[in-house]
Amino acid sequence: MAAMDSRLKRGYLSLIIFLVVLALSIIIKPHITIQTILVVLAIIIMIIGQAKIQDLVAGLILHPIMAMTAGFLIAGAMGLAGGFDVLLIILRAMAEFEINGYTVLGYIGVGVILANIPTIMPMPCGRILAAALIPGVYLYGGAIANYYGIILDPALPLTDPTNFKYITVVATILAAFIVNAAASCGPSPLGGIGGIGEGNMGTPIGSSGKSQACGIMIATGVCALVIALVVQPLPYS
Amino acid sequence: MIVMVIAGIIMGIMFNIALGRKFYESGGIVGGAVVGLMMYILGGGFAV
Repeated sequence: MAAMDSRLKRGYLSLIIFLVVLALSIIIKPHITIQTILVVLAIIIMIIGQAKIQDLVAGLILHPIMAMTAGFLIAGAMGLAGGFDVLLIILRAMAEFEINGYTVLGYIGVGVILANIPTIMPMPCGRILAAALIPGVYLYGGAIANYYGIILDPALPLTDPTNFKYITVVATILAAFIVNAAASCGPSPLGGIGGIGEGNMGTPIGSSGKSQACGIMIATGVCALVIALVVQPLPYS
Repeated sequence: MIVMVIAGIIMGIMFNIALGRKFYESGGIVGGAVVGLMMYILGGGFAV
């Protein structure tokens, strides 16, 4: 119990440091690359989480599109430091926050905010937040399903209707998050791909940020709808 | 700001439907409005 408490304390500290540094990077716009900031951040979180380099890449589900090493290092460091456990506790608390007996956001509302975090805090490369937060989003997808009584039963095949419903909920929130993260470098004030386009056209930097952000929000919702309504289980026995 | 909040609400309604809830449930709508507002304050247009 004591070990868990100290792990959670380290998790809170690492998660707070991670989010504060990202928010400060966007507000202050320092004259160094974000990758440098992330690597330094990963080292700090590694020290807090008492992790080694070998530990960081173990147990992570790698995806070729998210090859940003700094993002993976952060994800590994946060996972070992307990950052994702803490993230789940915070998200659950936000979802269950009540006023006069009514939840304000609920699990869906918090899921909507979580899926849009990459564009709320746009990095110059969408892979950074995608890689860094995906384990947390995956866990929260499972929490949404469990809250609505959809339980994953390992004894049954994945094509079983209940298990497939669970997978669809997790895939919906995960795919929406990935699409949002992949597009989030467009409106980034730190020099994303949208800024490059604006520079080439000679328009003021950041002039298309708001319209891009609107488009990304709508696209995130469309992605969630497509995944939830179109994806069907494979007909194998 | 209003446009971004409306875009957020539309996105929230889509999430409500996608996650098997009724389209008018408050969670997705309030969440979407919060996202629109946060994106207006911190995201995208921050540099403008």
